[in-house]
Amino acid sequence: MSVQFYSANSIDKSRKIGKVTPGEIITDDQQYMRGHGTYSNEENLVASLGGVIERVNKLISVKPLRARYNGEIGDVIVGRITEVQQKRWKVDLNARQDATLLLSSVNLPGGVQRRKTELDELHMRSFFVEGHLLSAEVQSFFQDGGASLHTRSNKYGKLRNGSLVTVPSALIKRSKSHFITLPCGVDLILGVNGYIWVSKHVENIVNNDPDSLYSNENEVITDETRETIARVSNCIKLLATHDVVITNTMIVYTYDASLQYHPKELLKFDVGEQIIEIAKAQSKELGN
Amino acid sequence: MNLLSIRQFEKETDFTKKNITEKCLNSNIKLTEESNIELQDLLLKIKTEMANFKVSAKSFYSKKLEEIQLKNDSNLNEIINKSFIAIDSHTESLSSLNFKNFQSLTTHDDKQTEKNSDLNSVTNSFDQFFESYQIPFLKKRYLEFEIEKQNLTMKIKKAKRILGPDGSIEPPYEIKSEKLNINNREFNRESKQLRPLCMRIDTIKQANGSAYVELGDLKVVCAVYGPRQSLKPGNSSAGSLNCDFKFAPFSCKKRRPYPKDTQEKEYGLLLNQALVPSLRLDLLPKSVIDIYVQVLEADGMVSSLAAAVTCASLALANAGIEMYDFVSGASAGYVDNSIILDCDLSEEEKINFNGSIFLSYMPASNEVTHIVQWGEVNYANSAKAIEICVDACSQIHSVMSQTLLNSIKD
Repeated sequence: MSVQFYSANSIDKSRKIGKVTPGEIITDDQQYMRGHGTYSNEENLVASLGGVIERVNKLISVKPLRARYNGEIGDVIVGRITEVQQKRWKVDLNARQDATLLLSSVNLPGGVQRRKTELDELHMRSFFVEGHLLSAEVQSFFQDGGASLHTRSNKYGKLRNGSLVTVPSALIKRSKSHFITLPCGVDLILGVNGYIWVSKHVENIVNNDPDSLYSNENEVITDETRETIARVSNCIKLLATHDVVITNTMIVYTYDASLQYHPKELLKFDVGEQIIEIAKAQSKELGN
Repeated sequence: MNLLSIRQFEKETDFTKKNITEKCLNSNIKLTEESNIELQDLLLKIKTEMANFKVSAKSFYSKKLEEIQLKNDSNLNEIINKSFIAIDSHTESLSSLNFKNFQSLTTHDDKQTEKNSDLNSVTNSFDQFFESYQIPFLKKRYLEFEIEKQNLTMKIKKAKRILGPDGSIEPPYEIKSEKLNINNREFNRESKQLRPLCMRIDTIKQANGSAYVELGDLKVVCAVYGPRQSLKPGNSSAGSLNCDFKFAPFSCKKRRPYPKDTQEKEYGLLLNQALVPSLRLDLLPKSVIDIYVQVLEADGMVSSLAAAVTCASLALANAGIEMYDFVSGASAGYVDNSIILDCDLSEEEKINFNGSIFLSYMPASNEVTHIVQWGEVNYANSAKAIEICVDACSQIHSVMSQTLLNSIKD
């Protein structure tokens, strides 16, 4: 039985190379508190995940290689409706549990301050049905860890005129804005849970029209826009395959590098490699 | 009972018929007083043959009756009696006929045509005699019986019962006559030596976690999905684990059909019992973890279960699910009075392979999560086997942690 013993000093030194596997003893020093990915076993602090040790003052936690999306309050997410229940919808976020969207947390057509009536409850299906995509923000958490969402803003709501791309949630970092307009004329919503929505660009409309909030009709999308949307989607997929953190700058670099190819050629292995290298080189240059 | 015997009997009767006619013909040539004596002798012979014939016929009939089980068939009895009477009358008539004929023949040489006609009449009478034998009737009756039997079998078939053939023997697929010698294992393996071990993770991209384990020729792959929303209604304070075990159709000697059989369901449950104590399911309420294990080449039934536990535990760690420790699995077999570690398929099939043990172990806390033992063994050997398996598990654990560490890039 191999027992690896990290003394307090070694944790400081090994901050960069502190790799652990489940069951490995991190330290036996009592001064440290246990964070995520650890548990205490009599006198020892033992890892419960395979990953890298992170130390913040006296808190030790283990960051795993990959994990399911774990929400935090204020996260912008993109999700899909899975169930319609009484006074609430269940939304799939690629997380441990489905999130909840309460009827009281959505904007009803006809003004923000409208009182909820029984009629609204009966007409839930006219707002969201199973399979609809929406963008929302995490409002709070239930006791069992499930998230509660809200769409109480013009920028959130039902998604139209675009396509969905799924990437590992670790590649999307929390930033100031998750609603991006690319110079090529395409809108992006980077959901922190790993779902990204690529759509046709729409100007900011002050929306008082009650019907348009929950309409299921797509607008007319030209062939050019469709090609651009496809190209951007493939670029994002490339970044995901190569484990590159997805930011709007990286997407722009990748997009520029891919212009010489047809969108479907981007799915080929060698073409993808080339493009990523160019994008990375460019980001280094401009970063420095 | 078969038609052959009747045919044989017919042949025999034909033969005797020919014999008797020939003899009559032959006797016709010599027309002296000596031939008369010969003729009388011949007639005696004919009589005795007839008598014998009658006796054999009666025995034949009685045998057939027993076989057909138609003893109570009064019609048949009547007919048989009639035929016996016919035989008697014929013999008498024949003997008288012959004597008369040949007496006349001795006096009249010129009447050859008459002789011939007389002979013909003799042969005709014989034919009549044999016809009255009622063989055709018997044949017909037997055929009827066969048809009845067929109808009965058809009825039985329609009632969906499968009757095996009488007196069938199972063909021997494998003759377990070979004995296992613990000093003569394949590749000169020692009795406490594991097969060469190889592990990989991240083999299945679409799953949250995956692993592949090779133990000699044994190959197991595992995919883990989760934690994800549990479809079971109601509140649960802890997560649940769903284990699915399957032998691929091409993995065993005999093809495994697609629906899971009882052994695979049992192994799925054993896998669940082995893994649940190691996972921190209290951190995953209302969630479910799905584990799918497939054995691609089953070189040993119990050792494939042990490898499946190892593989599943590694895949769970790859998926980032919190656990107390890796679970490694090992298996051993009992041969005569000794223990051999990690048996492959050829060893399991030997005649002196008495039983096996499967054990899953968490080295960090020195805890055995699951033990199953099959077969007959004494207590001392059982305790020894547990120790051997625990040592093997520790060895396997070191390989598991190394595999996971290698995947963590700096």
